[in-house]
Amino acid sequence: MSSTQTSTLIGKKTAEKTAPAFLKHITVWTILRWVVAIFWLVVAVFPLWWVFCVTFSPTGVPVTQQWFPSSFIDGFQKIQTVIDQARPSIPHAALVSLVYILVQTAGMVIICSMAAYEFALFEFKGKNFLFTLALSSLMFPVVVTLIPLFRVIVSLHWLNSFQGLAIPGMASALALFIFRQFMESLPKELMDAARVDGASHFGVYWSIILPLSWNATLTVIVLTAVGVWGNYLWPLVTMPSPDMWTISIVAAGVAGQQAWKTADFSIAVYFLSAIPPIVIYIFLQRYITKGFSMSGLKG
Amino acid sequence: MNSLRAYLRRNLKHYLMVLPFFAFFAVFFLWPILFGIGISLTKWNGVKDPQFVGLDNFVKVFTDPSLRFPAAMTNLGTFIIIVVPVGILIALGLALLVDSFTPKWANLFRAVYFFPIIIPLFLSASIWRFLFVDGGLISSILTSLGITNVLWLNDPKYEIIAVAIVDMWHAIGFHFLLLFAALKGIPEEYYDAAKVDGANGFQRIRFITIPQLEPVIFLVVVNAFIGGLQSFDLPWLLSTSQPNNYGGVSQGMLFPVMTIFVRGWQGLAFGEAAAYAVILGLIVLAITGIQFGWRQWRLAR
Repeated sequence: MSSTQTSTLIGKKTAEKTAPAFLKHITVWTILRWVVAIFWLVVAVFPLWWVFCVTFSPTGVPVTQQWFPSSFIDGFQKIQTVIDQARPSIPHAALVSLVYILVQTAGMVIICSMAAYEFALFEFKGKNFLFTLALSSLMFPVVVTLIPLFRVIVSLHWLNSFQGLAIPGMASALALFIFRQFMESLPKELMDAARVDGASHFGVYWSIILPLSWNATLTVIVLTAVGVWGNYLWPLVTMPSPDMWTISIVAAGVAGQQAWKTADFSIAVYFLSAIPPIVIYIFLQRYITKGFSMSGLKG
Repeated sequence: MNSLRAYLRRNLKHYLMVLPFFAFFAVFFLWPILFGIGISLTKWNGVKDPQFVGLDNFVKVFTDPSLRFPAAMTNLGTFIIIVVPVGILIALGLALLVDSFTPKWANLFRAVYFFPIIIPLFLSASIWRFLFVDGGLISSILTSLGITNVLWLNDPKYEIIAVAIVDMWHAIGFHFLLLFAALKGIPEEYYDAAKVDGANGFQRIRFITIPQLEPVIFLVVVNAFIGGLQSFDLPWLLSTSQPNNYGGVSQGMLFPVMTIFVRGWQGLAFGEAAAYAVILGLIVLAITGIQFGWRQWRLAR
C-alpha cells in the first residue's frame, strides 16, 4: 500500500504540470458519464414505454415498431375492449389478485409483527434459536417445498381457494425481519409507561407497539403487494379453475390465445397489469425502496 | 414442578406471541421440507398410496433421458455464468457512476434504475418476448449498428442469452440499489484520507470502495445464485412453454424447475418431481455453503 502511495504522489506532481490536458480529460469523462447514465435510464424504462406506445396506437398496427404514442382515442378504446371482452376477464383476475394480496398481507402483518414484538423487545429461552431458524428460511431453496406444499394444500382441500393462495406465504421471515428491525429502534420507555398504566403483555403490543410500527407495516404491505401481484408459479400450481386465476396467469396467457384480436390488444393487457405496481412505485417509493433494501440485506 | 411453573410463568406469554408465526412456519415450510424428502423416496401419482422405492427416483433423474437433466444443468450453468458476474459488475458500475453525480441527479437516476424490479417477471417475460421478435426493438438496434440479427427466441445458441438479458434487465436495479446504499455508507473521511495520500480515482475504488462493499457484494452474489438456480417464470414464458412442449427450441431454455413443475402436475409423478427438487435444493445449498465457507476462509487469512 505504502509503495503505491508514493508512486501516486509522483504521478500527481506530473499531472499538475500538465493542467490543461488534465481538465480536458475531466470534460470527456463528464460527457461519458452522462452518456452512460442516460443510456441506462433509457434501458430501464424502454420496455414499459414501448408497452405504453403500442397501447396508445391505432388498432391493429404492427406492434414491433411503435416508439411513440400515436392515438390516445384508440388506446382508450383498446383498454375498454380488453376490460369488457377479454376472457378470462381481466377485471375478475385483478380482483382475485387484490383479494389474494389483502388476505396474505393482513395475516402476514398480524402474525409477523406479533412474533417480531417478542424478538425485538424481550428476552426468553430459545429466542435466538427460533429467530435464526426463521431467518435461515430466506437462504433456503424454496423449490424443495413446492411439491409437498402443493400436496398439503390438496389434503386441506384448499385448491381453488383463497386460503390455498394466501395462507402458505403468511409466515414470512422477511416481514418478521423488517418488523423486528423497526421495533428494536422504538424507545423502551413507552412500554414501561404503558405497563405502569396496567396494560397487559398483548395490550402493549396491540395498542402501543403495532400502531407505532406503521412505517414497517406499510413497508411490508407494499413489498408483499408487489410480490403477490407478480406471483406466477404458485397460482399456476394451486388454482386449476379459471375462476381463481390471478392477473399473472391471465395476462401471461393472453398472447397465446390465437382467437384473441391482434397483438396490440395483448399489449394493452400488459399495460393494465403494469399499472398497479407502477402506481405503488410512484407514490410509495420510499417504502418500496426500503423494503427491497432490507430484503437484500437480511442475514 | 414448581420450577416448571416458574419457567412457564416467565416465558409463556412470549411463546404465545410467537406461536402463530411458528405454527404457520412449521406447517407450510418445515413440514413440507421433510414431507418432500419423504415423497422423493416413493412412487406416487397422488391418487394411489405412495410406494417406497428407495433412491430409484434420484437415479432416474440422473439417467432417464426424458427428464433431460443434463440439458437443464448446462442451461443453468450458462445462465449463472452470464447473469452473476455481468449483472453484478454492471450494477456496481452503475452504483459508482450514480454516486459521482450531484445528489439531485443521483436521486433521479437511482429512482429510475430501480424501476424494472417492480415489474413482475411474468410481465417482463411477456413484454420482452415481443422486443426479441425479428423486426422488433433488439433486431432494429442490431441492424442499425450493422450487426446481423439472430433469432433470439428460436436459435438454440442464443435462447439462454435472451433469458439472461431479461433477467439482468429485471435484477440489476435491485443489485444496484443495495450496492448504492452501501456506497453511501462509506465514511467520507476514508476518501479524504486517500486523497491526501494522493490515491487516484481508480485506486480509491480498488482499495477503499471494493473492500468496504465486500459484505454487500457477497450477499448480492449469494442471492443471485439462490434465485437464479430456481428460475421458472422467465424461461417458461419467454419460451412460450406448455406442459406438453416446454423448454424452447432444442431445450435451449429448459430450466430444472420447469421439469419439476411438469412432472409433478402434468405427469403426476410426484416422487420424481420431488427427487429432482431435492437434488436442485442440494445443489443450491452446496453452492451457498461453499460461498460462505470460502468467505470465512478468505477473511480468516
